[in-house]
Amino acid sequence: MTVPDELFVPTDADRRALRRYRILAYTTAVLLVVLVFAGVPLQVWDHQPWVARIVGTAHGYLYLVYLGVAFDFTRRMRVPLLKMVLVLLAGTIPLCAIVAERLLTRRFDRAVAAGDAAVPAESSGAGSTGT
Amino acid sequence: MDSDTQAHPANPGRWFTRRSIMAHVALVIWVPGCALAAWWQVGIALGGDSLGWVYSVMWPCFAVFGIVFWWFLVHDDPDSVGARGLRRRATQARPGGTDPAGSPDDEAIARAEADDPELAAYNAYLDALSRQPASKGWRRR
Repeated sequence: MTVPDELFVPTDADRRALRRYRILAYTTAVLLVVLVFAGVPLQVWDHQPWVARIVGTAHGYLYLVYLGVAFDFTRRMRVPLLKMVLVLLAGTIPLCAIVAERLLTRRFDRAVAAGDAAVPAESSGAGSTGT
Repeated sequence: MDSDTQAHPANPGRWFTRRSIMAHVALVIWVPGCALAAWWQVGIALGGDSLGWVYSVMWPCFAVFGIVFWWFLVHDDPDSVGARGLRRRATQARPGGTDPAGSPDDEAIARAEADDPELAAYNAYLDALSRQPASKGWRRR
């Protein structure tokens, strides 16, 4: 992103926000992939609408949760406005949410590493963001 | 609301900045758009497809999210959130005080403060504010 990583020093609350965001990003992304690459073909070519209906409903409501969680997290990360909107929209495009999640998590980890390098004394629980 | 926004007292002008006006325009398009989409889905639901009920509830939720987004766009001080706020905060958080040390104005400030206790108190207040631990979000943790 446009901001140097070391300027963002994540707190524990930021780590929780990251975890929430990653869970929601993966869940909505997987549901959307199932919907678009399984549900819709079944509905169109095999006239079995049930997969699309159930998964579509689930994705629709999980996307609402994703909106809130991603808004919270990108704000904490101080993502610029346009990129924030792109992250929010990524939840509606197959596979895009996963790409956005990768970029944001990497930036978070870089910020943690930069913060640890700058302040070694405060590095308890460093880099514990998962992957 | 958090310290970020409350640190900037009521400021009617914030409703008419370029950023705010763009947010107003986006809201004026977004909310009726969501209402139309919800109404369209109600029609589908009444037409017999029960999936329409799902989306006729969801679109108003999107409208509400748009209102929340708009509210934050208007009320956030762009200097205290986002990338700009991060840069400014990092400057303030550097060890040793508010600005790169050894400012040539320090002497003048000290003299002015000696003459004016009110100014000295205000500067002490600002200093205390800038020494507070940085809040990362818009919420108090």
